[in-house]
Amino acid sequence: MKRTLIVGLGGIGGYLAEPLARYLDSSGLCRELVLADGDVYTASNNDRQSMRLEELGVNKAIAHAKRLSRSFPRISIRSCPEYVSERSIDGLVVEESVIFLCVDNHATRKLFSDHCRRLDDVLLISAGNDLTDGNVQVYWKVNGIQRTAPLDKHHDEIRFPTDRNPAELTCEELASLPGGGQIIFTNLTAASLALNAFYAAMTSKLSYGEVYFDVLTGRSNALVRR
Amino acid sequence: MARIICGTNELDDARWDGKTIAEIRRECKSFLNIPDGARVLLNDDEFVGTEDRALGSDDELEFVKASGEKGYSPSPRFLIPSREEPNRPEPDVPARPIWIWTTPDNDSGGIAIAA
Repeated sequence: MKRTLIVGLGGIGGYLAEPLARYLDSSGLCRELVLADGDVYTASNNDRQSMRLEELGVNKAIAHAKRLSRSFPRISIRSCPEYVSERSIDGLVVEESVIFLCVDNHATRKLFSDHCRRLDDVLLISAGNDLTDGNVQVYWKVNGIQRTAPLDKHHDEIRFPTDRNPAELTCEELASLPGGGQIIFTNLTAASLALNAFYAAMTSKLSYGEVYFDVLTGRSNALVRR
Repeated sequence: MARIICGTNELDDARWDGKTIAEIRRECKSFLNIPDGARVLLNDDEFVGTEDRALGSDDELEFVKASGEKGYSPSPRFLIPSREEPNRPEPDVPARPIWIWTTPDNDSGGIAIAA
């Protein structure tokens, strides 16, 4: 693994960052962690996201990079305080990257899906949730061979996104984006399942390409994706 | 027996053997919470064909549930109040008393205050 990225440090990415950094630090699997997010912490984030009050107004990627650097000095932790776009993805996502994609829009998922298809060795883990349910998708390619399906292969909402990459929006458009209701426990479940998929891939035991979960029924369902 | 999946919802029942995909989509839509226009996978592969194909007893049929985004969900939203719906009517449920126990100074017992 050359590089590990977390894209989106909101409800899901903000909770998987520390356990991931801790695991990378102790295992020595990868010594480079890049955090990318164009958003800043606002007061309304405090009810659900992993923020500290002194981080109000601070870019989320920068805030997490500072925290993690203090705790895990053996890893090189860098922040990319902007939304990933077609312009920036080439420099960020390189061969032998592991990407935790924790965004809330299909346009960015498509961007990453298309880019990762062009690589030979990549592990892309995409997590998303609605109010009380969600899913984690895994795209895994080793030596040019796809072990699981690309994110958009069976998901038309990703293949033909009707939303837009935040990198393309003006500040006014970003501010007017509707926020859905979310629950911290759903975010935590998505983060945990994303980390589970990562561990399964690292130990060559990954047998699924997607897992759905529902926090109200307690059910999860791992499915093959070819 | 045929297996039918949508997200975390599954059905394993011989009654669906021989039913067409279209029939299953219609009859199981509510029970399995199948989204409108959900893509169909048959035995883990993209299904190419018409939905009048009948299901065999060894078949696995999946209606692909969309990836989560922004918290919007068909799940009921009564669990938390929505900040985005200022004109949402108040639920027709009588207010329940909130019992607050205070510690008396003279240890004679707790005091319940109904709010």
